[in-house]
Amino acid sequence: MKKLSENILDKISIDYVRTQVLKNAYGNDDTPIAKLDPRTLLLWYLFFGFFPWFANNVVLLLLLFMFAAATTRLAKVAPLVLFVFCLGVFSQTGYLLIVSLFFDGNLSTIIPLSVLTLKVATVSLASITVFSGLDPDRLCAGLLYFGCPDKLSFSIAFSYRILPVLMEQFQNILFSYRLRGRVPEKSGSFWVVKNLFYQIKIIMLSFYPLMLGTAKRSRTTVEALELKGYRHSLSNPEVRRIKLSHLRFSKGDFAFAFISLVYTAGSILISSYIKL
Amino acid sequence: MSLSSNSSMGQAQKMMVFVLSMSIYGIATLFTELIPSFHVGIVEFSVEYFLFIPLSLAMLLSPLSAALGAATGELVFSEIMLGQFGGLGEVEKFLTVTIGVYVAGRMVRNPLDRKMVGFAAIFGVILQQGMGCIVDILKVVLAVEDFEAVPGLPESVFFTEGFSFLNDVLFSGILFCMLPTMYLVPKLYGKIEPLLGMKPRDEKTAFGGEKLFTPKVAVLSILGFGAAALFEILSESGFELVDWEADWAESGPAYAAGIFIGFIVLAVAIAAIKRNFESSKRGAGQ
Amino acid sequence: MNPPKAVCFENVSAEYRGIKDKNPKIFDGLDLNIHKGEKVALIGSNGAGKSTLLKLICGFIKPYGGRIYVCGEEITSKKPEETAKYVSLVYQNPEEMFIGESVGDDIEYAMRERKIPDYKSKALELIEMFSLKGLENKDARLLSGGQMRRASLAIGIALNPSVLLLDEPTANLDIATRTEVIEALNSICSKTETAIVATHDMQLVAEWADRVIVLHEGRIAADGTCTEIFEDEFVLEKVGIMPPEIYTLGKRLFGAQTLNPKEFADLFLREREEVLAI
Repeated sequence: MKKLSENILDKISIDYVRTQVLKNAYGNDDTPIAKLDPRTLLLWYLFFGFFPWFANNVVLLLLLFMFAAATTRLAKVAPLVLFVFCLGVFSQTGYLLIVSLFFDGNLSTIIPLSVLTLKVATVSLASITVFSGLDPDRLCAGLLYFGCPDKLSFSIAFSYRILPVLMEQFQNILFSYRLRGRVPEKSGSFWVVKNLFYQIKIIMLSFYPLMLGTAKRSRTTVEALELKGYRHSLSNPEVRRIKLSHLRFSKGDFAFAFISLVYTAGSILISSYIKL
Repeated sequence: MSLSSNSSMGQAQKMMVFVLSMSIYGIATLFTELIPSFHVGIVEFSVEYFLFIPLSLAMLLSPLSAALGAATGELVFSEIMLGQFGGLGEVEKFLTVTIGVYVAGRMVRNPLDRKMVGFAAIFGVILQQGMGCIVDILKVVLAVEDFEAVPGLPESVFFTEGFSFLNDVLFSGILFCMLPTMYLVPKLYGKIEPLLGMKPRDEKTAFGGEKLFTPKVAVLSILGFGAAALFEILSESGFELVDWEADWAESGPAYAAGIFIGFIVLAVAIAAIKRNFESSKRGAGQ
Repeated sequence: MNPPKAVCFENVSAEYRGIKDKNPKIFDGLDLNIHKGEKVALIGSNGAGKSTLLKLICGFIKPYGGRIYVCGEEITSKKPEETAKYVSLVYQNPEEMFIGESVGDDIEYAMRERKIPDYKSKALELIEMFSLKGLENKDARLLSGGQMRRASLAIGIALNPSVLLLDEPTANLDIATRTEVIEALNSICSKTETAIVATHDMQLVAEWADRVIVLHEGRIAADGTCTEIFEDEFVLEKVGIMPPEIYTLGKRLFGAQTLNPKEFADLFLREREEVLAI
């Protein structure tokens, strides 16, 4: 905890977050997954995001998990994302297992929980593959194609554009507080807590200037959008067609679909013969 | 007065509030993923969320736009951007955040009344966390076969969920939602509005007026919560509703054939979409 | 004997996190000395490392190799709260410096936090000095461009730093405001010992700096006085900078080095008298 309190501010190395996120979004546009059509990936996700919930066979789940893991590897996902993934899976089921041991749980508790874990893990990996493989523009196009509200695809596109700007602004504001502030003096037994409190306090305080600055910025953004007739374009089918005109299915898409198909069918076959 | 009470605020202004709430809360949720949590004994302290941001914006500006913006921001920044998008399960978070922030925003009539602001903020948190907690319990109950029969599981689910609810409300809720909101709202009042090109809220433009919980708000909230729970359960436990395993388990090959056919149908559908799309493009070209 | 060093870089290496796998290096073994009392201009194209250099000096970012000294003290691993004793950074975007509730509050902020006696009267002096009177209770974001910039300068020197760093102090300003800011800058330099400005504005360089450091791809491409740099056509070509018009004009017409309109006008009048005398 001491270590933690000393360097929260360095831990939130905003630089790190920013590059990780950008890496995740734009950095791997040369992977096989990224070359696929967004519609293929979304349809694929529709299957791998749902099917595991319906399966209760451990062997089948294991095979599906391996497939999802392989695609994640193909997509060259950023390490931070994978770390958050592991944390997420553990927090959903591993924690539950530990606590259940205190309440007279035994080894038979593990099996239902491991099935749950496998399901969660497979579905999450599938979504990591798809949403890391797609850069925001292609994700928007794909979502728009399947009739998602335009406001969502606007939000995604806008968020990616604004993220580096906001991060830098936040970093600078935080740094303003630090350059002008004073660290609690390094004495007394409560220094660790005081220092932690100081760091969290300036992080929170930094949102005040950020909110005001962003308010100004969002006004400019919205006014610019109004000038370009953004709201009107939402209801115009012609606009939608132009936005989607660059989507193409390629041989890779069919190959990917075919491999997924054969693998899944094969897994089901295998799992029906092996009994655990 | 109801939803349309703030119609003095134009569409463009609502869009600004949406964009503002989305981008700042989005950034904040990105941080919460990264600030490490620490344990003192069994109590886990974590900067769970920065809900004070949309709460303040909802109280000062437009509750609905701020609430929707915050939910979208969280979805986009910490789910889609970090590649953690969990499909239908995200709908639950989306709806509970929207409801929590929206209700809290409507409760405040005078942004300068710190007591009211604080009360509304913590109420919003309790509402959001409470709904999330119930859904989480239902999730495990339905996702694990014979939930009651698994030794130790029911107790541990109720214990962990209940505990994390209390922890979130008492620690994150007070420290990261109530106190910052109480500090920020009066401070931002009259300052943030001119930057967005609007007038500060006063008694006349207050949302909701005396009738704080109009039947409409109540019904909408309940419906929303119902939908949230339904989505969550659907996404987690579809096999309970459609008993797949029982039918198919005996004939694996038939199962495989079914999936195979499903895929072929999918492929044909894609091809059809493609053809359809290209012809429509040609149509547009002519 | 050289005057004491204000800033000293010893074999400093820094990199930034790239989006692709490799982290591009910004500096690789950089050595640099800046002496007390110098007015230094850092020039170079975008991405040459100007801002990074400033951020390294105030501890905003940490180098991964080498040492950095400010006023004789090593700050390589010091927290920004500590480097702030010696260094102050004025951002390119003044809005990011406004963390208080009003202009006056912002100017007071650092002195109040650091419990400096008589901070109120000192803040009033600064408000007077940067002609911000009457604006001290306004929100800084609602000021005009020039006012914001002046306020940011006032905030920057509130703690009496020995080294003042300025990032693009004249960017995005109209001519009148620019003149205002340059005046303010000159009055600041009578207060602080050393100032380092990162800029693209060659007119500002010519009028203000007494030492120019040209950065190119993380290296010091040239280091000298204004005229030395403006004469070095090889460096100008390589880095892609242009001397101010007035300099080029003076050189073409009279083969002389004129750094500002006043020098040019004086020279012009002298030359005309000589021509008339003939």
